[in-house]
Amino acid sequence: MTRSVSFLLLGLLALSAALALPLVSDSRFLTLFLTQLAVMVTFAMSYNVLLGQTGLLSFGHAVYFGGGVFAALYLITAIGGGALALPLEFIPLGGALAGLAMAAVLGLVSVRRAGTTFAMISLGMAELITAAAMVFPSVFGGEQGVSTDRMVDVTLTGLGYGRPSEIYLLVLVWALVSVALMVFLSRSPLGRMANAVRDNPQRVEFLGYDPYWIRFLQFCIAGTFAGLAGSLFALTFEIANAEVFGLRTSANVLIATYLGGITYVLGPVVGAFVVLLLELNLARITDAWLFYYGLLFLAIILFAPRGLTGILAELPGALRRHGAAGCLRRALVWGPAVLSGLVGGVMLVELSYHLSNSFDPSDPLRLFWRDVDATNWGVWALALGACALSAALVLRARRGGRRPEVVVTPLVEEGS
Amino acid sequence: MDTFAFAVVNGLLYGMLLFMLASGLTLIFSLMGVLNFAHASFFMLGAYFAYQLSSIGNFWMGLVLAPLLVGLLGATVERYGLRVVHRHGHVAELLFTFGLAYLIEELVRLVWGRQPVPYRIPEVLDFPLFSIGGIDYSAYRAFMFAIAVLMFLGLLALLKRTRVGLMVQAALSHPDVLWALGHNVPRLFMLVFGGGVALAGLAGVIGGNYLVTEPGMAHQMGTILFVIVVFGGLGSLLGAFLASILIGILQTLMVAFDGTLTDLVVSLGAAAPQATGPFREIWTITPANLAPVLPYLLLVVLLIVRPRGLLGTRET
Repeated sequence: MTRSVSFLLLGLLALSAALALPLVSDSRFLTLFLTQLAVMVTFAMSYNVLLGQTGLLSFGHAVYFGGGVFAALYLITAIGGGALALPLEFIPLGGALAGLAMAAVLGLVSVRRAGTTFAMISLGMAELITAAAMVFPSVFGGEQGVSTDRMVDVTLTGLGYGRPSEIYLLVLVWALVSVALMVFLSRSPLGRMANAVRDNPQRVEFLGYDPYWIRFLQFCIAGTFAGLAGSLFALTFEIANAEVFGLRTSANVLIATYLGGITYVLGPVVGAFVVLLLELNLARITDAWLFYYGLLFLAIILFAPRGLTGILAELPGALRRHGAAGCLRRALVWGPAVLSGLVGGVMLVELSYHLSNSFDPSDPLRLFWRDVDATNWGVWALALGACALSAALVLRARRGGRRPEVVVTPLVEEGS
Repeated sequence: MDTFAFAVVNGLLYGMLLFMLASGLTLIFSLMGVLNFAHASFFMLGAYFAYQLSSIGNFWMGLVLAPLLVGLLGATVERYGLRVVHRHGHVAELLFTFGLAYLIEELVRLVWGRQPVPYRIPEVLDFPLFSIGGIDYSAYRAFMFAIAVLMFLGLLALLKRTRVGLMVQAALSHPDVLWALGHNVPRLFMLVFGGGVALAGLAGVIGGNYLVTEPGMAHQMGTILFVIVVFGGLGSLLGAFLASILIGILQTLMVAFDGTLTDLVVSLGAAAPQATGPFREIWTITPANLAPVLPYLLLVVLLIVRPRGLLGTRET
């Protein structure tokens, strides 16, 4: 009881913060960030309906997102041209319908198998749609894409939706409605049955349910909300090309969802937040940000399969078990090893990146607030030294204390 | 007719290259249950390693050393990566190899840059072997063919005639019994993963200068590769072989021929359609435009007709 109350309070707090922030500060950057966050959260939550709840690993979720994007772009243009008398606020319904229609058609073939086969089929479908979209520039606009203008006359509230803060409100409302609906659906009988199909499809079949139809329904739900997220994307950016269907979009949502933690209902929210923050800030600091991003993803898979939310949730338990002193001692043993490894690794990556990708390798490189020369061997020696120190510290820590515990839990069972 | 023959021969060669990758992938999958998403990335690493080695030494050094290096890297990945995530189930393993593919692509960009590298055919083999109807057939293609055939014969001999091959065959069906009999099954897994990945590296060495060595080659090759293993039936070597050759030849044939729906309509005696509106390109698409779509289209059709693939025996 207290848990749900605190949960509710936390949600209300976050909501009021989300509403108040753009009103308090007039920064366009912040408004755009929050708008993108709302889109990403909706998309990642819809992805987790498949991966976390039903155990279906998809490499083609961008197809349904893209369907929503293009449906919304054409709908907005139709409203703007006077061909359709639908208020702009209802555009996301069109996107959701497009996502649902595509998921219902492609899902019939896709969800016959779970596990690896499903993953490969989803990849094949995504490549099929992407390649086909490239063949039809009259619909998908080819390289330059399809664009539209969201400032139409037909609106419900009378807002013009020209300013970023106005479109932010619209996106936020739709994102909140979708997140609430998805949380509700995950607690509904269908959501529970989906969990059962994920964990033990044979047993579900014995109980008289058909795993195929449960997977199919979940697939449709995921497609619907992905389409909705796509239409929110279209409302925000007003332009898209066929690349939106591609593996990069699918990989992005997969990584965001997994980073956040797929075993928690609101894990994708955390993941979307972190990924967007990394995307916007890390990309400004370093050109090699995608490399760090991939490294973080691998580290999470190897060492924290419950994601960032899992780390946060297990922190109080670890504190209680080992006591404050024990935790501090562990931090002192492992901290320097991790830190020196990070510093050495980042130096190596930045140096080699500078050497192979800049016009003049002897240009000074800004590294840890200092200008260094990447062609000088001294910097390389320093970087390698930091890596060696880290390796030595890890070896010592392993011999000295026990290894850090790895929580052994079957994350997502493979269905048949 | 000559064009047709050349297209078939080239398609066969492309199919062989695909099977060099697909065989390792299938072997790893049927033994360990892991579909190695990063398989094509090791193919790419093979090409880049060979480029690097041939720029400091010569092509032959790359041919020998690059697959070995790739295999060593693969064995390390299995030992310290895959084995750790194995306890979290197959989905976690697939995710791990997916992350690995992502990382390797970025690593290649990091070290060798975004542009294609000038990895060239060795001069010794850079001459036309014979020519039919004015089209030259390069000696390097014949060399690739020979390498691919040699590799299959070697693999077959290894699987059927040696002790390690016997253990692999046993582990395919009953890994637990093999373990109980005192054989080191985890080490066998490591060897097979390293070996399969080394085959991909070899394909990269001889394919990298035939195709283009650039950071996008893994993604391009990888998606077709997965189509092949699902199409042939997951875990079936023969199925993978048939699918490789089929898709290789079909894709090359599509590029070699032209003609559009408009041409067809006109040749049937009707007036040429004046297409307007969305999807109007359907009248002017050539088979070459459709070549990238074809493998995926085939996959979807096959999955509707026969969900377990061409020669698949398992349900998943």
